[in-house]
Order: sequence, then structure tokens, then C-alpha cells
Amino acid sequence: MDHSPPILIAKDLTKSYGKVAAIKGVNINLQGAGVFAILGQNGAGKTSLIKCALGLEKMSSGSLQIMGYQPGSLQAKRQIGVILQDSDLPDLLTVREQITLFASYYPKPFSVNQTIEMCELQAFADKRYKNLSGGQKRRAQFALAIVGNPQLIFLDEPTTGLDIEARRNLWAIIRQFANQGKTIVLTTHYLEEAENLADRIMIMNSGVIVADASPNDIKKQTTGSVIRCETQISKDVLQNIAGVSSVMNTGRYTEIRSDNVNQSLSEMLQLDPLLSDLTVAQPKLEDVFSTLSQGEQS
Amino acid sequence: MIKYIFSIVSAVVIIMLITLVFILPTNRDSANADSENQQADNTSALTNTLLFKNIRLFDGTEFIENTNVLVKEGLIADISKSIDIQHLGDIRVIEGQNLTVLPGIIDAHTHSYGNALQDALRFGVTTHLDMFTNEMGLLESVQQRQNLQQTDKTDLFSSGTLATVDGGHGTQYGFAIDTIQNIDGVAAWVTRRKQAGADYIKLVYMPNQQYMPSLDKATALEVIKQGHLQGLKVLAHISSFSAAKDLIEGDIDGLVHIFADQVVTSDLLAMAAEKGVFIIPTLGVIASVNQQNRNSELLADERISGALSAAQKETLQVSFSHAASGFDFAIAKQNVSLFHQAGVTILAGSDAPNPGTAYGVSAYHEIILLTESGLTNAEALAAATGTTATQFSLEDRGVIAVGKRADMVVIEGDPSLDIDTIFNLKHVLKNGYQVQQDLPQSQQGVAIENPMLGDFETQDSLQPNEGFNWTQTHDGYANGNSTATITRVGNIGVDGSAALRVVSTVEAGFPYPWAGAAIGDFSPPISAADIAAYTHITFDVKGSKGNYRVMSFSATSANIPPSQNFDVSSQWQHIRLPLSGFKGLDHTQVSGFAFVAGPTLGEYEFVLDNVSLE
Amino acid sequence: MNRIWQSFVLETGAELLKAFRAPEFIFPTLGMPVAFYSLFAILLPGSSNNSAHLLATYGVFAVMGPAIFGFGISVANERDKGWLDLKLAAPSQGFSYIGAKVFSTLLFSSISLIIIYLVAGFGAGVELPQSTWAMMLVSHVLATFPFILIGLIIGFSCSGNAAIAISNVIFLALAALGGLWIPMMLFPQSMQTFAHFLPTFHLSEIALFILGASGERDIAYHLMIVGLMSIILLLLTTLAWSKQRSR
Repeated sequence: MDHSPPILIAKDLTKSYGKVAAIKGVNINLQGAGVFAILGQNGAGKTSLIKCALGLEKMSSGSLQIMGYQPGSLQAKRQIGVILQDSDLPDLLTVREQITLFASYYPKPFSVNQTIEMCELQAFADKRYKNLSGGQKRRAQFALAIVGNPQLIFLDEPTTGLDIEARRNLWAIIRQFANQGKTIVLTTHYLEEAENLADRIMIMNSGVIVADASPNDIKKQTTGSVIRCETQISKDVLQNIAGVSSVMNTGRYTEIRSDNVNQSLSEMLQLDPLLSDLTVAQPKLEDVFSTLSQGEQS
Repeated sequence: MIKYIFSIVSAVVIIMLITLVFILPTNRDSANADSENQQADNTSALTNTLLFKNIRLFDGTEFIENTNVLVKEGLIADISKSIDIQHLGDIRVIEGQNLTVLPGIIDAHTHSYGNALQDALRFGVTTHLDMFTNEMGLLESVQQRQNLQQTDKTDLFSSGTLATVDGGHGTQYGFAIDTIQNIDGVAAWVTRRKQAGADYIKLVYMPNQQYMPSLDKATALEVIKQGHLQGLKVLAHISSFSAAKDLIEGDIDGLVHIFADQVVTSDLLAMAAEKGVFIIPTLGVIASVNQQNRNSELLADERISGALSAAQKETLQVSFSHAASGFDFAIAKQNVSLFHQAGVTILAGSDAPNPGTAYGVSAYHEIILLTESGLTNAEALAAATGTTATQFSLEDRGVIAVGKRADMVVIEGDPSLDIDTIFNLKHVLKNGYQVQQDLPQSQQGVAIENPMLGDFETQDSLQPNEGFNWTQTHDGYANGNSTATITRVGNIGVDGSAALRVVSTVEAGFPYPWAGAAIGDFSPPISAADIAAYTHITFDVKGSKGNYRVMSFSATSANIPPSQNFDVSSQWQHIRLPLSGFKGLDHTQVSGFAFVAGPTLGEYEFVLDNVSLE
Repeated sequence: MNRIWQSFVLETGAELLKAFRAPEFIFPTLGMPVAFYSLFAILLPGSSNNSAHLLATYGVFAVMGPAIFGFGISVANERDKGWLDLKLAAPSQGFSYIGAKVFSTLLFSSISLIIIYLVAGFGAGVELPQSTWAMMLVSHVLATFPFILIGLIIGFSCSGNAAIAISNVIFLALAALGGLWIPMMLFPQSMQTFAHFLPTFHLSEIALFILGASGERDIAYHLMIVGLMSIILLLLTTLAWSKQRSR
């Protein structure tokens, strides 16, 4: 057993803004290295959770500790690096200048050049921040998050607004860091991002953690496609068609989850040639939530 | 860069800030010295506390070598050979180096009007004992001289008006004065003087001469008696041995002139000494009447001339028109010497601003004249300080002693050895405050380009040039009662041209009443004109018979305007007067001329044409 | 300690670099006071006789710009952009952020003053004793502090856009009504009375006192009011700071 305190532990954490409750009792216990994704839609309470952990906002009740320290305390801050959602760096300073400045905050930072290498910023380290592309900007922000050599790194929606290449680029760097023994807490509303990066995924919805699972478990719920149509075929029959994992009636329509869309569809068309209003889609996050919620209940 | 920019910018800014202080222009070369002086002057002008260190002191009676005098808040606080400077703190110090400190000078015979009090104070005359002036404002001056505030004026004591009869000496100046009608009215007359603020009584006793009427002996003696009954000293203007004798017998307290008609007799000397009479000889004015021209020495003395105002220069330059009999300067000095030897107290008074004298400076001159008349230097200085204060019971001044008013004069040199050093004026203190000795700067006159001052041919000829214009003028502006009106009339001039008609009424109310027409700039700020390029003023005149005069006005002096007389008849006359005839007028600082009737009272009408300089 | 100093040096360096790389900030804040001063003290006819008097008041004007604009607007902007949050989440010392802002503002005020003093001395012909130059310069540099506090209050309580508008209004009102542009004695009586509520008036009176300008001045009164205003502003600043921290 590891006797050091957990990297992050939250107990019955709540946070409300006036009458609006953003976090409604969250329990988290993070131990050891790895990437922990908090997956959820916008407004699910992810950013509030991060801000509470950083000490930027006060929690309403419950407790939260970072390696045994109170959020917002200097000791806690020294263990933390962060990319905040919607936070920008000063336009007129170069990347190197910003890194130099941030390095001075920490007791044992990486050297500026080392940081630049690790984040692959060499090409634009001496450019002013305002002249960088979106992906470069985010990598610069990431450099500020890691320059202090912190144990715990919060990345609040780090890839929002980036194109796919920039996103993959950043993922690689993040992954590399996790492999060096750092703990990375990542919030995102991209399922793909969580699946690709995370060692553990917590799904947050309306201020509550609705699921806490490994990416494999999540994947089970998310592979395949959703077939939606108007059909006469009964639910029992549909469940026995090859590839079908679940069936749901929503009024006029029936939604069928299938791991093998082609086979399932051909069988369905044979059973009901009058089948109409057919659509086939990838599963949505809501679907995963609802499935997982059901799973929790069952 | 981010690592070094802090140090670079901080260093550059700090170095520039410091450099800035050293490179910014200071008024160092000429002006800085001035400003330091000015600062010193400012602070000294603001403080009435200071220390005279290691100076020679004349305390009003005798000389004391190498002592210290502490002035605290306008009063003399300490006099001692050793003063502990340590606990005095930050104090202004005037130190040694052959400086002599005297009490502020008391001029025991003046007629103080115009800028008398300012002009006197600049020369260190801190007290005027006036012997006839306008009684208006006397009560104010009583208050003024009791406080210790900073002032630019000498303290004034006065007899108010003088005791004389209708038409007697003192009435010739044209304004009605309170004369004595008969012996029964004397008591009430003295009371009126007291109410007006007089500090003592002055009477005029000039019997046995044909020029003007005088109080008779009985009335004069009654004035002395009533004055004494009402607690006032009584002083007398006399001009002859016999008059002096009458009054000394009658217990007069002091004579305000020495007689110079004959040498004093031993009988009178003995009596004067026994009665304790004092005499203010006014040798300076007697020298002037006697045409001795002692004043020209003063005008030529660079230590003095630079500080003289235009008014002071003017009165010093003017002389009496002719020597009068009975005023022999040598006899005057001999009499002073004899009285002094007999033990009679002699006091210094200038009789300024009579012709040949000036406020301030003539008080010093009188001290010199007294040393020429048998007084030692210390006695002559005491005659202008301590002795005068004793005789006039001036308890707060005249000597340098603890508790006295800090009216002081600092001169360079040792007047116990060389009395002439009293003109080496270094500092003047009034009520402990430094007095500004420099003359206020006078403005430069503008040269008159167009010599024609008035031909009156056009409507706008009343404003001919250089801000000069024609106005009526009369002594009403000086609280007199005369009036005048002027009108440009089209066909009454020489050869039927246009001219100026003047209607004047000259009435009593001012010493030298006048009414008529004037050309010049008389509304402040007065811009002075420079007429040095011209030698004469000419004009055509006719009108009612009488005595008229041209008065010349100075832009810088408020003194009696130098004048020249002319006569008028019903026929046109061309009059041409030399500008040099205006005695004492500074030709570069002229504010105008007036063509007036007076001082003889009455109604006049005259026509003026073709007024011109040439 | 060494690390805190290092951090302060870099923080100040960052402020200076940001300012130097923003000509749209540098030129107006440094240029406007000296331009106004040149206009009123040199170019306008009859101005030469009050160029020293105007230096005393325009010196106060010169330090207002960097403090109110440099501070108010930049703090508000950095708050808006989340930069301040990022710093607060990082283990930076709060006071090194504020300290760097204050110090760099002082440096800019000094630069502004250096320019206007040079123009006064060598352009407008102002000649003063060295001690007067030095004391007036020190008083002008110190006059920056109340305006820094005003800037901080704006920065902590307004959004970026509001800060620009409010800074301008406060800047112009303090300058005009405090008698920095036009001598106070030309104002109607009611406005002269109102000026007593403005720090600009008292600060310029202090500078005028040092200058020895004509007119009577109760230096103790002006110093006391400036002190009192600074304390009130400091309290308001603390309030605004803690309010923006406790969300």
C-alpha cells in the first residue's frame, strides 16, 4: 500500500452560485500517475470542480485536498500546473518570456529550454503570443502548466477549438507526460479524447459523477451505431437480430443499437419492407450517459 | 531580455532622474545669487526676531563696544557681552565687522505729508515729531505707532495745527485752520487739539515784525498755561532773540527753531538752563534760508543720492527764493553752541520738507550740523535718539534697552570717531522687521513727440498725444474746496481761432489752493512723459486780472508741485516760461502741467490758447 | 527571498516589455501631458510667465496617465482574459504581481516626468533652484501613488471595456476639475470649492507650494487631505481586491 496521501481527494463536494447548484456532492479519489478524464457536457460542473481544486473558487460544502494540502494554499499550488478554459496569455510577450516568468514561481522548475523541448515549442518560442496559431497557443499554455515540474496537472478543455491535427499533437505530449509519472486531470466533452487519452474516465452530468469507469467499459457502451426508424417489428424480435445490443422505443420511432449495422439493417428490411424514416448515427454522449446511468442502476 | 529589462530601465530612469536635477537650468549665475539674497531678504523681512552679534552699540546715550543685542518679536529682549546662542535655535544673526547699531532716528521737527513717512523710514528715521500738519488722520497714527506690526511707515507724533491768529504764520497756505480769536478762547482751542489727537501744542510767536500778524505776548503765554493745565508740552516757533526770551520767561517747554538774529545773552542762557528748556535748532533749514547750499553736498553723496525718491530729491534741490534777514547761519550755530555749553538740551530736527531739506536724510544731516555746533558725536546722536525720547516722554523708543521697541539702524563704521559714517546705512529695523531700503523702481517716461499740447482747433484737440489730455484741475482732489470748468470755444482764441475757456473758483481749504485747466495724465496708472528734449513752455492767455501760476506735476512724487507765476490781463499775452524754472521737477518723469488761478481766493475766468513746448 | 526577488524582477520585466511593445499605450500616456504642456506653456502667446506654474500642475497630470490607464485598464483586461486567474492558480505571490505593476508604473511616471521637465527647463525657460527642482520632482513621483490606487480599484471592479470608459472619465474629470490644465483661480467659486474633493487639486497645490508660487497655501492641510484620501483609496482597493477574490 502507498502511504502517501492521495493526489486528489474530494468528499461530498458541493458548489453553488446563489441558488444554482453546479456541483451536487462529488466524491473523487485519485491515486498515482495517469490521465484522468472528467467527461461531461458544457455546464456539467467540470470547470467549477477544477476551479475549486485550484482554490480560485470556494467550495460550498464538503472537502477537497491536493496531496494533503488545502486548495489555494501555496503548498498545494506548487504541486499543480494548469490550463484554464478560456484563459489567454498576454499577447505581447514571447512564449519564452512567459515560460521564464512562470518558472520563477516554482521551487524546482524545469529549465526554460527543457520545457520548450518537451512541449516542442522550438519553432515559435521567440514569437509573440498573439502571432501563434490556436494549437501553438495551447501548447504554449501547456508549457506554462508543466514548467514548474508539478505532480498534478489540470487541463480544462485543452483541445476545444483545435483542429484534429493540433489535437492529436497535444494528446501525444499529454500522454508522454503521464508516462513520466505525472497525474493529469483532463476535462473534456469529446468522448474520443477521453477514450484515447484517459486511464480512467469519470462522467459528470448536472453536477454529479454518473459513471467512473475504465475506457474499456466505456468503449463497450460506445462502439457501434444507432439505427433509428419507424417500423412494425416488435422489440423482442429486434433484440434477437444479429449485432443488436439494445432497443428503445421513443414514440413513433424505434432506436436500435447495433455493433454490425449492415447485417442488422438487412435483417430488419427483410422482416419489415415498409420500414421508413431510416437514419443511422454514431452514439451520442447522452446515449452513453443514459446507458451508463442504467448500468449503474442495474 | 525579460531578465534584464528591469535592471536596465530602472537604472536608466533613476540615473536620468538624478541627472535631470543637475542639468535643469537654475538661475545660478546672476539670478541665483539674487534669489538667495531675495530669500534672505524674504526671511529677514518676515522675522521680527534676530540677534546682533559682536557689534558696537550706541544705546541712545553712550557707545558700548563689542556687545550683543537680542531682538525678540519686535522688542529688545537682551543686551549683554555674552549671549548663549545655543538655545536660541535658528535665528537671523547680523554680525560684527565694524557695524554700529543705533536706535531708530527721531526727527524732532517735520511737516509730514505726502510720502513723508515712507521716505523717512527708508533712511532709518523711525519717528517723526511733526510740528504742523493736517489734523485728519492723526488719531489713526496714534493707533499705528502703538502696535508692533510690520510697517513701511515711520511712527508719527504731531502738534496737529498750530496756535496762530487770523492771517498769521500758518494761515498763508490757503486752508482754514483753527485760529485763536482772543485770549478767552485759548482753553477751548487747546482742548480741541487734544481731541484731534495732538501730542503737544505748538504756537507761533513772531511779535515786532511787519510781515504778518502774530499772537500777542499775553495770548501766547495763555497758550503755554492752558497747555500745561491740560497736561501737554507747549513748543514755540520763534525767529528772534526777543521772542525766545519772552517765551522762556513764560515757561515754554521747547523752541522748535534757534534764533539767528543775534547772539544769545548770558542772562537768557542762564534762565533757559534753569527753566530746563530744550531747543530744536533746525540748523539745516536755517542754512538753506541763509543760502548755504549745504543740501548740494547731500545730493552729491552717492551713499545717499541713490536712495532718494523723486520727491526727496525735489525738496532737497529747491531753495528759498531769497535770503531773509535775521537768519545768519553762523550766528545760529554759535547760539546752539552757547546754549549747549550752558547746559540747555539741544535736539535734532530737520523741518523737512522745507526748501533744501528732505525727509529722512536731513535728520542725519542735522546730526552732522550739531557736531559742527559744539556737540560731541555721542551728544549729537543722543539729540536724535535718547535725549529726544526723554524730552518728549516717548517711553517705548529712542534708546536700546530691554523692553524697548526694536526700531534700530545699523551703520558701517564707528560714528564715535567719524560722524560722517552715519550715512553708511546697512540695515533699518522697524518693530524688529527689516525695512526695505531700496527705492521702489520708477517707471521710464515716454518722450513727448508733438510739442503742441493744445491749439484747441478741433474737437479732439483735448486729447492731443501720448495719453495726455486736457481736464479741469482743482484742489478738490486734495480735499480742497476750489472748483473749475473748462470749455473749448470756437472763436475766442487768438485771431478768432478756437481756444479753451476756463472758469475757476478758488476757495480756502487746502494749503495751496488752485483751480484751472491741466494737460497731462492724472488717472492712475500714470504714464510719465519725458520732456527733456524741450526748454520752454509757451502759451497765449487773457482773462480776469490776478495772480496765476503754471504747476508742474511729477509722475513719481506727490510733493508740492514746482510752479512758476504769470500775470493775466484782458489783452492777449504770449507767455514763455523756461522749463528749468520748475525747481526740482524731474524732466523725464512728468505727468503734466496745470494753468491755474490761486492761491489768492476768488473767482477767475481766462482763455488759454496755443499751449506748446519748445 | 532570492526567488521572490527574481520573480518580482521578471514580473516587472514582463510589465515593461508589454508596455514598450504597445505604442498605442506609450505614445498617448507619455505624449499627451508634454504636448498639452508645450501648448500652454510655450506655444500660446503670453504663456512664458506661467510656465513654472504649469509645470507644477502638468507634472501631476503626467503621472496620472500611466497610473490610471496602465493600471486600471491592464488589470481589468488581464482579469477578463483569465490571465490573472492563471497567475493566482500558479504559486506566484500576489504582491509580486501588484508590486511589479506599481513599480513599472512608477518607472513610466518618471519617464513621463523626465520628458516634461526637460521641455520645461530647455523649452519653456523654467529656471529654478536645484533644491526646488529636486523636491518638486520627488513630490511628482510620489503623487503617482494615489492614482495607482484609483487604477487598481477600477481594474478590480470593472470589466475591460467598462474600465476603458471609466478610466477616461475619471482621468479627464480629475485633470480638468482639479485645475491641472487651467489655473484654479480662473474657475468659478463653486468649482474651486469642489476641487477640494479631488486629489489632483491637493497634489498640484503641494507642488505649487514647493515651487513657491504666488498665493497662500496651507501645506499641512493639503498633505493631510492627500494622506486621508490615500487611506480611503487603500481601503477601497482592499475591498475591491477581496471582492474579486471571493467569487
